[in-house]
Amino acid sequence: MAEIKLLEEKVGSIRKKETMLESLKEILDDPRCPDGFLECMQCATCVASCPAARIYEFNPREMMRQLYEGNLEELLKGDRIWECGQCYTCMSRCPRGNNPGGVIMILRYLSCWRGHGLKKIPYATVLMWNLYTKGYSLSPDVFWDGFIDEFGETAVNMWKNMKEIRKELGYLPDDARMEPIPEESMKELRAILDETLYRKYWDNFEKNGVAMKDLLDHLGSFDYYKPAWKEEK
Amino acid sequence: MKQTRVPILHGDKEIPLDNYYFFRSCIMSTLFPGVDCSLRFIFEKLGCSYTEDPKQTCCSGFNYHADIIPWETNVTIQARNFSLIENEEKNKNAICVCPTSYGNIKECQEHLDHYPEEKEKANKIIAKFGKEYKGEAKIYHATEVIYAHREKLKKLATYSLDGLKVATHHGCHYTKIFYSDVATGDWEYPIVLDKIVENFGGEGLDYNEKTLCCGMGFRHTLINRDYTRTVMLRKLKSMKATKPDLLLVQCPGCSLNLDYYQKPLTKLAGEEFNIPVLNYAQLTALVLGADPVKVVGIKTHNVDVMPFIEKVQKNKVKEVAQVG
Repeated sequence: MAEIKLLEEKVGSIRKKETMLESLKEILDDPRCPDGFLECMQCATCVASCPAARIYEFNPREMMRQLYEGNLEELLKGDRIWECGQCYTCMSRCPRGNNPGGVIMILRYLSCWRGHGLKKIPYATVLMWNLYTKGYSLSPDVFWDGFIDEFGETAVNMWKNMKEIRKELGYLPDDARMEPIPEESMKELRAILDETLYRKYWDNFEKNGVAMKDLLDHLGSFDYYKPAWKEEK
Repeated sequence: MKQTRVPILHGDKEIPLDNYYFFRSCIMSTLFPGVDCSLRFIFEKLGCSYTEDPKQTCCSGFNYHADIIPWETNVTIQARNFSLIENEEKNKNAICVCPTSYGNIKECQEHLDHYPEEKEKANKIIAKFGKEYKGEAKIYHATEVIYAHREKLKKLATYSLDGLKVATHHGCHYTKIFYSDVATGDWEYPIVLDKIVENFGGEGLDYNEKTLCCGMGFRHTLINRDYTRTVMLRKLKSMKATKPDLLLVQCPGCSLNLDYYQKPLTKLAGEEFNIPVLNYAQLTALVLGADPVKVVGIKTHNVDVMPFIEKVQKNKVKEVAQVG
């Protein structure tokens, strides 16, 4: 009898593993899924190394456990996944070849497709737009309009002269480059963005009406940005 | 092709000594264009052939780690960039100035090489405008290249860093993503920047939070700044305790935080940091005698770098006219 019970337990655990794999299919199918994704032994090396764990109640070990228990949707709806700082210390130290930072990136991506995470990245359309129109994620105009106030008076004053300083070094004042990117190359880049999931991902923000409103709340003025956007549409 | 071997965690890796493809970075050219200018200055002094290609686009690594670009798009953008590198006649060694570019394009390359069907998919898209990724592009970070040229650079140096103490901060996306590929040192204790300092006669400092991330976190630096401020405070306090003359960094994102945050954090820290920040290429160009304003671009820095430059200029080892 004892043997049968043991066997039943074993079959049960295999079934449990199957359901677990089913719920994690989206992560396992992602080409970025780390080799050691299912190998976590809950040692918490990641937590001990994590800068975000020092500040928030952020806990990569706990998140891996929640995933194995089938709580994927709960994680995708929550705030926790947005606290990771993407430094990958966890990945370099994990003794089992797992990559919690990379898994969190996949979770954030899934969360956006489901619509939960869109509010968490209000800057998304600015940077997406920037890449689409200029071929660069960041450029001096984005930095100037949205982000400089954080760094206080010295930085603000320095940025008042930034266009001149850039010219002195041979750079364009509003573009990150020395010479503009050829229109031909921009066409190629746009072809890539249109052919892949980029536009769909973008529409996802637009459709939910989140990004534009949050963006304006957060960043105040993006004058250059609004008319250009309208034109393209 | 000329090349040299530098130690990594297990064994060593080959670093080319010539024929570079200058892989520019959006955030570096936005915030610290002087780093690009310094690197050009170094390549010219070394007599290296390099290509700067206006057709190269962003690697989109910033967007990638800020969760706003699908992986598939990221990989295809890289396939196009790689095809540009491969189309070069000689200069086929991509030299990234930014660790996130390095980590991101290397990850994309690994993916394309590992999954033939993904490579085919990307190639199908870029074939529409006559491009193809074959798999020949090689990727390095600029600090590795400077390290590989150390002996020649020492001979070319106008100044020495004798008696100067330099704290270093390595970029996480250089040391921790491809952690077994870190040239000199390892991900737990990267020393490539310290080696560059020591090569010119300076002293690389050790401090408690040497490997702590700068707290950029991509999305955090844009909208969740409490995180960045807290990490920064911890990092800067630990660094300040060792009284460095300079902070040497590898990454434009880290440079942004470490340079721009020193003044606004003074009140919170209860002490003034005032540690000048330079990038690896800027320091090397400076030691080679480059003009601090026209080449090194010190006007783009928040903490005044001039006091440090004056200290360096006292250590003249060679009589060479300043080159602009």
